[in-house]
Amino acid sequence: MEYGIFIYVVYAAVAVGMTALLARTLFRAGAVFLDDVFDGNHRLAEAVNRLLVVGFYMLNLGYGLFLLRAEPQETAFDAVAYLVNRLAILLVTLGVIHFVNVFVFWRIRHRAEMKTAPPPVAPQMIIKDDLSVEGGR
Amino acid sequence: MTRLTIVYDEHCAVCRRARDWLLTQPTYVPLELIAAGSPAAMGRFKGLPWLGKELVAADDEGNVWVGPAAFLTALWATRRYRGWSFRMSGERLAPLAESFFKMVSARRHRWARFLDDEEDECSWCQN
Repeated sequence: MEYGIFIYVVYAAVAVGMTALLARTLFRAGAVFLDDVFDGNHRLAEAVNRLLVVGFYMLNLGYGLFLLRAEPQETAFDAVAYLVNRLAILLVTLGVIHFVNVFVFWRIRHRAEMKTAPPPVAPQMIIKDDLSVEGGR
Repeated sequence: MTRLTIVYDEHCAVCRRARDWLLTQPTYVPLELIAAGSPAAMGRFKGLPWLGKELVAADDEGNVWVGPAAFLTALWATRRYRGWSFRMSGERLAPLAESFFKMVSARRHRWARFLDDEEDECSWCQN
């Protein structure tokens, strides 16, 4: 008996399942981040989030399906070993892409925070309109 | 804050170099750089005892930063180095940054020889 078909079916199921699961996690958690960044502009935040998740889907599914080129394996053990090897490569790649994604979210948020941050040190003195001087060192 | 005014010492080559550099930087807040000896500075900041002696930064709301604080505030205004202004005002780096700025600032008239600035006296200066 040959195990080529078995590898393809199991692999496709796991790849699609993992991608969908990760994308949903990313979508839910990302929404919170982006809502904060876009300062209540809920529609824009959702649009950006959706675009990111679509990109995530395409990249992951495309790569995942591209990765698999199974030869028919002779024994059940070979088939499972091959399958596990492919899934490991897929998972590591998904993990890397996911962390890059989280980094992008963090970066967007960090930029927005920087833009509105007040000066790092308090002023030494405050000049009133009538040129009288307040405070001092 | 909608504008930040930096008052620098126009008699020192390092300060003029720093001003030129700052003018090339993209900023979050519009910057205005004026010489400490200029009539504009004298008119607007005559109440400040540090004028011409220390770097001064002032915003349009009347807040005034002096010395190392002015240096950090100028850095904060730039797009590229705002992150550094926070890092340098943090617990660990603040003492280092402050002493560095004070060291450079106190000896600022001596650094000119290391720059390619032959102009000892500023030709366009008021006094």
